[in-house]
Amino acid sequence: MIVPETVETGGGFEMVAFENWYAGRPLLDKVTVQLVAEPSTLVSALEAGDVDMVDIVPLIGYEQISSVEDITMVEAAGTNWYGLTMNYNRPPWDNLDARMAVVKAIDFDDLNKKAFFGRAIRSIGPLAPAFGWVYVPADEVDSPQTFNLDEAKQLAQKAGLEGVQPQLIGTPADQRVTETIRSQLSEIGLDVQVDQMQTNAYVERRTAGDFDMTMLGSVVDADPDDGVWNYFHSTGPSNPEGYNNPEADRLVDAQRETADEAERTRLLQELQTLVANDAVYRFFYHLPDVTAFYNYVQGYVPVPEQRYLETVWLDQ
Amino acid sequence: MINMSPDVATDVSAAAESAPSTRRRFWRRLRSERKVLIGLVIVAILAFIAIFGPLLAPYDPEADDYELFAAPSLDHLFGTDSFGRDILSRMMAGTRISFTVGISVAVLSMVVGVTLGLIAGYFGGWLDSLIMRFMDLLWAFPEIILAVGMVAVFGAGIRNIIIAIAVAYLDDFARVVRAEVLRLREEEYALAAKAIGASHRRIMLMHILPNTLAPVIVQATFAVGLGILAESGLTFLGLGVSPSTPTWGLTLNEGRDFIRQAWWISVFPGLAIMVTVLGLNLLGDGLRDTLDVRGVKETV
Amino acid sequence: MTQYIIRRLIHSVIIVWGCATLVFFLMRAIPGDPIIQMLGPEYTPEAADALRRKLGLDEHVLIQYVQWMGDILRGDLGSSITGAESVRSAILSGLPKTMSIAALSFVIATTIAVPAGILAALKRNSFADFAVSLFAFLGVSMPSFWFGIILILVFAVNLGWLPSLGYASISDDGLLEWFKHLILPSLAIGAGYAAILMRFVRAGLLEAMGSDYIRTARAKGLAEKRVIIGHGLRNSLIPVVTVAGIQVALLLSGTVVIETVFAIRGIGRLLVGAIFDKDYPMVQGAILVVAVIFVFANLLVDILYTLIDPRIKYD
Repeated sequence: MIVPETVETGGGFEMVAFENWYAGRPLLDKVTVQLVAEPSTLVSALEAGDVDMVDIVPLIGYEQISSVEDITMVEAAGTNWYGLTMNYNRPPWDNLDARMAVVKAIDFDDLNKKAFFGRAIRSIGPLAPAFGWVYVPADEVDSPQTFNLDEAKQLAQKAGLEGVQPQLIGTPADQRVTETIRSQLSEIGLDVQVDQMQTNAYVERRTAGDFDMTMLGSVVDADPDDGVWNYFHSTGPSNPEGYNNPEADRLVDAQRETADEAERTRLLQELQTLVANDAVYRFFYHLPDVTAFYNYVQGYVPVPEQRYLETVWLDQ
Repeated sequence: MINMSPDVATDVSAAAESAPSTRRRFWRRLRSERKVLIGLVIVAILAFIAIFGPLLAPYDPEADDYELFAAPSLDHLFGTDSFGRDILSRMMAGTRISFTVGISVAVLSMVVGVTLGLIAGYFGGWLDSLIMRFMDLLWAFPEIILAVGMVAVFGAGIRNIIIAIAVAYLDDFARVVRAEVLRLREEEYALAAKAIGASHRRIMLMHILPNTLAPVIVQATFAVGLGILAESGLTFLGLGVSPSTPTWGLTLNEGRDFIRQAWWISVFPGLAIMVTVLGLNLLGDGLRDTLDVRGVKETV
Repeated sequence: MTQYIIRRLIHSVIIVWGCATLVFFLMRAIPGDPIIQMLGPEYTPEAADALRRKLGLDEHVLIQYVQWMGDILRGDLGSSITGAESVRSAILSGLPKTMSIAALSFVIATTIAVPAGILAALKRNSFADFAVSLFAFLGVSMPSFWFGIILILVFAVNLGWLPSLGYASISDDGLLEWFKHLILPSLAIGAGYAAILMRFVRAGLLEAMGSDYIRTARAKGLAEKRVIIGHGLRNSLIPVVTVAGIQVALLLSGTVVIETVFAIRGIGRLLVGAIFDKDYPMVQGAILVVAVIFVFANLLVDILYTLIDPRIKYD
């Protein structure tokens, strides 16, 4: 256990070893955490050797960092999922055909190339790869959430989407995704209006349900329940789109009530199929968790989306 | 952007004596000013692109199905960006938007600033104090922070960005005009107009305003360039126009993550901004010399 | 003079108060409830009410304003909305960083601009004048964040001479480290200032050279060099002082962006982050301090003027 010592709001913080930790004192005396807002600076800082480790490697930096010999990149399966949701309380998005048209119009390969530089793993639902016991790889099932422009166009015509101007809200961090989606959805006649704002204003708008479309997902989940109950239960706190399906509620509740892993697996996978068929979201991706550090940083034990530094020491 | 403290600005312009120049002398000097000529040529070319750019562009600026990060070649003169779009076409489409931002900023801050400066200078007294203290407030408030705050209040989007930048710069106009008005108010023709019973509005609009035009035009020329630069700064902070609007600032910002593998994404829009600011500054500098305007702040 | 200073002091206080008031109400007009984001997935209307009460945000906005004004007069700036850091300590840690960047960028700008400006003025309309002017235009029109990123790539990544990010304080890390961390960010800002300053120096010197007393000095038979150094330069100092005053004005606009690029938590970065996070006490406190520095630095510059240029008199 390493305890925080000093904090600079928006700047970073320092942590010092806690001497009386029951599992023994950590090997490092002090860890300095610096927040870097500009991704290119973060990549440069690691390359120049000004920092020993980066928490999350920015997508733009993979190639550069992996080309440096003295640097180790550790990639772990992600516990996250991410997608695009549509607001049930705003027509035409209460119509399954309209939502499914959007789902099928999104080309994952193109999105992956442009927004994630080819680093994302295709997703068909909220069960993340890090939960091996319940995860289903996308290519092992015949999901309705597969790019098919012809079907998308037919559904769009049926739902009358031509010329509709959905409002897509997001933050500057979503920019590459929103740009790509806007372009892809123009293929089915949608004229997406991107409304980009700072996180705070975004969260307020989202919480108030003031949007047609938004990107949302779950990260740093300890169990699939985190990324399921909050999002798909009719009373879940992260259900701004207003999804309300008694069958989904039943499955979410039931998987909470059983300790039997096989039974939970069956319930969760059934739920995953249900929300994919309901097109609550266009499920985009699971992003692997990638950290990088110099080879002299020794003893790192990867835990998905967490950084445990108790066992780390510097071989200098 | 330079901010002079109000008292200094007043002093400098009060010290300046501008000789009235006849129309013929004006044109002779204009022609002899190489700066104005070069500036005019640059601005004219850019204006041409702004108007006809969408017709001249080799590709659809929105089409994103070309190769990603393609280096400049005969097919794509300025290369392609990180979404696989033709940069030249996007920049041509962006010329109009960036100019719209720059010109709108200049016009908006000019109209509001000139009006306030005119009223403050002409009437003086408590109205003058009130307006000028408000201008001091705008001046003491860091411009970019003011813009950040305004965009945060009203949301991003091109209209709000124009308003935010314009508000941040309108005190410059107010100050320049007020100083001129103070000087002109006591001139004979204004006094004469008052003596024959002309209304305040008539004196202000017919007698004083036309004589303040020279410094205002010069200031406005600089403001266009400033508007374009300020937009790219706001975009960097995540407060720019909607990502679907291809301003130069946006393209430059999208390219900053790829300076090493694809320098062309940020270098070409950066050059476009530089050339524009250069052209506008040359024009403004030259006009200042030609019109013999003193006391207008230095550029940018 | 004393009367002038007193009048300016009163004005200054009013401007500072105006800024503080403006920012107080501006912050509350910005959409985005900090409470919702602070609670995250734990958000319920009841929890939000409780937290609002705890932070005193449930009171009427005018009551909050009066309370805040009272706190300021007692010298209490409060603490950040998350309670992690006091506004006072955040400002005290941020100010030296921003001031260091500003000071060094001013030194860099002056070092480049004064000789370049003199050269351009003396060789008016020559190739040197043209080259210097072109450089100035480049400096003015280059977005500082872009220049900063390129400086990092060249001097930190490729050459490995200088650190790519962060700040080192003189007391903890020594003068050399402090300086090494500051060069790149200061250069990124200083280039633009150098361009502005250069044009001031050039214009100031040209004006001075054409003025009566220089002509008199020449007529008295003083050597050309002495005329330039003794009289011309003295007058071209005025623009340097002007820009020094303006420096304070530009300081924040420049550092907001550059501190983001170089991951330095100075006042600029602190402010923008606090605006985005709707950290009311932090924004209000930081703006207040900035406005004070701003207004009084300019007062100082105006007084300095009278010392350098006896022609300027304030009544």
